[in-house]
Amino acid sequence: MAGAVISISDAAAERVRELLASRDKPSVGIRVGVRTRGCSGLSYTLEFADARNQFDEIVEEKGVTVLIDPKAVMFLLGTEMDFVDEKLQTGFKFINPNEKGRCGCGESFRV
Amino acid sequence: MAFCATCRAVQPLAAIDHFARLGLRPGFDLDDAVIERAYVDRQQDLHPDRFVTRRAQERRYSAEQSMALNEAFEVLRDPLSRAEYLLELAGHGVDRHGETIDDPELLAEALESREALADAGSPADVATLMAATARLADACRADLSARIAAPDWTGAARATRRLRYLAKLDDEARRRSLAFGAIRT
Amino acid sequence: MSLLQIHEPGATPEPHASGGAVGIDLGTTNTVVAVAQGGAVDVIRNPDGHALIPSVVAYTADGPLVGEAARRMLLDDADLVVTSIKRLMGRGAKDVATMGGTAAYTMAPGDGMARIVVAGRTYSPVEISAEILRAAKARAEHALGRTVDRAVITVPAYFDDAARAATKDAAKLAGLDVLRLINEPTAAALAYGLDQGAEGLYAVYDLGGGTFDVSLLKLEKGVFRVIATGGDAALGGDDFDAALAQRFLAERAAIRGPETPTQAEVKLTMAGARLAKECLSWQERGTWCVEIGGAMTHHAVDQAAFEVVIADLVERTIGITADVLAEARIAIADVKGVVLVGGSTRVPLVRRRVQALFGREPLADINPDEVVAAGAALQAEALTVGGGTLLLDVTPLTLGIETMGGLVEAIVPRNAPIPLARAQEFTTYQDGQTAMAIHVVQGERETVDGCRSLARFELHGIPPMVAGAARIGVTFAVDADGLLTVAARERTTGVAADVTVRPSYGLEEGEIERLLRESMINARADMIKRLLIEARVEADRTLAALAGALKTDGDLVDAAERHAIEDGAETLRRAAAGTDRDAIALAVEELGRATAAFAERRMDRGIGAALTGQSVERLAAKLSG
Repeated sequence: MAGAVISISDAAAERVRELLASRDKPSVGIRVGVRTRGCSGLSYTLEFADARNQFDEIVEEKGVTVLIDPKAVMFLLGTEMDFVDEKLQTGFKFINPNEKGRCGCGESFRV
Repeated sequence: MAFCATCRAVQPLAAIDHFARLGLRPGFDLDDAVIERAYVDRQQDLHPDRFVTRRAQERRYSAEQSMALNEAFEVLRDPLSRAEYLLELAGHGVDRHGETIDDPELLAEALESREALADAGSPADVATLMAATARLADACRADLSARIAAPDWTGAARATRRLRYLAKLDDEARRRSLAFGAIRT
Repeated sequence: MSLLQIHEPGATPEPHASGGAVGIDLGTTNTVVAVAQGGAVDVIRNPDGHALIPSVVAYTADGPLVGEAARRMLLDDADLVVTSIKRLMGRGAKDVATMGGTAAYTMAPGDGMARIVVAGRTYSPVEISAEILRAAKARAEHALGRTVDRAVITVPAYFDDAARAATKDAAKLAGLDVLRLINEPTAAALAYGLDQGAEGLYAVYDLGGGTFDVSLLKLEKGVFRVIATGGDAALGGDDFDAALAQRFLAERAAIRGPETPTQAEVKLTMAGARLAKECLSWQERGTWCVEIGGAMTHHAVDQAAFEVVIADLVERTIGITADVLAEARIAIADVKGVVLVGGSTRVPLVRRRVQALFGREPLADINPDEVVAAGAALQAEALTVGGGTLLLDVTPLTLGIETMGGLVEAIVPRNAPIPLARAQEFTTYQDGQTAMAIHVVQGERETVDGCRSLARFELHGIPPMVAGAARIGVTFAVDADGLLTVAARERTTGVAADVTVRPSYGLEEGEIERLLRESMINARADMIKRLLIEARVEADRTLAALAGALKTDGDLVDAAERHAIEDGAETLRRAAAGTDRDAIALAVEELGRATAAFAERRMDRGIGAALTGQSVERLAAKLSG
């Protein structure tokens, strides 16, 4: 899906599908947002979506629906969402070409 | 400088001089309180205690920044080492490890005062000597200040050597005085 | 970096959200744990209201016991009990041989780190301290109802690198992540400064059970900057006890001739001397007894005599304090206040001498036993949650390296602000030399013999060159915990040299990992076991006390009451033989109810009896206090 705001790796798509299936209520997909918190200014939010909002940017890829908060679109263009299974922790990771710096903690970033 | 302007993340150490590190204008005449304020303000933001819960890299940067601040503070807060550092920056660095005095005038003065210290038989004698040394050091600092401002680097280097010798003399007198138990209650 | 999880709508956590960390004062005599929230400190107490966890470990057949329960065992099983282990932290076997007050330990043979033998097993001071820290952690977890795995731990300002490293290792073994080691006087100043909004120059005089520290601090706008520090890492209230015990033994020897007390008897004599010291802080005179080989002697001491015994020790602390002031070029008149910290500052002579030196009444309004833990808790909060205050501390001792002829070349002077880094250049003295050793020492003397050996750093991988051509830049860094690390790089080629550290008095390589693995495997089982042991000890103590009471005052109970009491005692005995901790606790409680009236009648009778000196029973009562 060329030109989509974000792309999703196979691993991330598989994990999102699993999580959506195991959630105990229906979801329309997942929602990705950005908020102005954290030591480097911005941080990602990643949540289940109960409903679509009017201005959400919608990305559908590999059987996964990702709703993107309209305010976040400009910070996320070209980002790849990946899932990693490391020795100590598992979770999602955003590979964002707009990030110019990242807080040492990895929880927030700036563009 | 130490932080990114937009995100406030601590940055790796930049190669800047001690004055710039503390945000001070290079010079000899600096007030103790001003140096201390500049130092403490920067430590408030950069000290590793501010980064305990952060990732290893940021903690390392903070430690490096904090160490550099400590070094800058140590060098600049003492007028003698501040003068030596200014000379070094100006390319007239004096060898800090060189113990020999080649200035005949200074040599004569040093021999004389050392003799006086050795002869001091009471705490009062030592105290008199220390007061005299303190007066000489004040005068020497004033001279040094003028020469650095000029700038007369050769003269400043000579004054710095004299100030270092006076500091050493004061140290020895103090030790002597401690031996007398004069400072003890 | 941290990875993201998918959350319920609106539930994405704030970055850096964190649970509170605790502050622990790991003392020679007592350990205290505290927690701060919003700048308010809560010193954590047991259900009886006691904040102090005696830093005492007893190695029973069933496993280790810590705190009050272990301290009580001093009376009957002193051989199994370890006290004042902090004095051995970071010390070598050779250091200990020359230390005072260590007759109560059996040292394990060996050259490196001092280790002691208890009940036939060898323990390092690190392991023993870890037991104490585990108990502190458990108390905090119990009180807070959550896991506690991060802490600020205090150490004496005058602790050297080896002792600091040992403390950090002990915390690691106890499952605690050390956010920061902070100096005890600095912690105390923090507690006082925040409490009183003080500004200006303050001196902290900290005389604990085994260590003495004095620090000068400048307080300004929430920044606590240490200007100078001094002290003696082997001088404290324990030495007062030892000096008084010596006097008792000398008096005995004068009457009875030479004797060889057992180690348990030495420990008991020390405990008696300690009790005498504490009593003499508020009462004019008393008589204490010493029992060796079954023979008891009585020793009368009044305050004046006690002060003669400890005068030299107190003068040493005053001398060190005066030296620190003189060296920092601070006139006594410029000091705005003096803070007293540590249980030993309760001794009146100490207070009088400090007051005389500074010409002003010292501040002691925060409990000197709890003020350090309170400061540590405040710092733990500042480090995790953030806060305006900042501690800027200094190196306590000069760091140097060994040069030709056993001399020391200073690399980092004492009282230098930390963290710090100093670069030093070395060269090779043989053609093709690819390795060199650097011996790092700490201390104020000019010869290696007069300083403490910290570590030998071996540099490998120096590119072979002709002698004197290599320029090896060695960086000595002291971090904010006061711990040293060394890095090396050959300057002409830029090749980094490998640095291997052999600490002179640390745990051996891999030892901490092994101990950690063992403790993780055993952690849960250990905890259950420990609680059970504590309950059993409590049961035994209750039963023994009851038996004694019935023997002396049995006439106070009638047949029916005696029957009920004996029933209760039997239930408790049976419970204690089992493994159900709750059943034991319940039985103790029930027996308490059955004996309440009896206890009251005994008390009435006791009030009539005159006080006739201090006896072993009173000592027992005090110890189990």
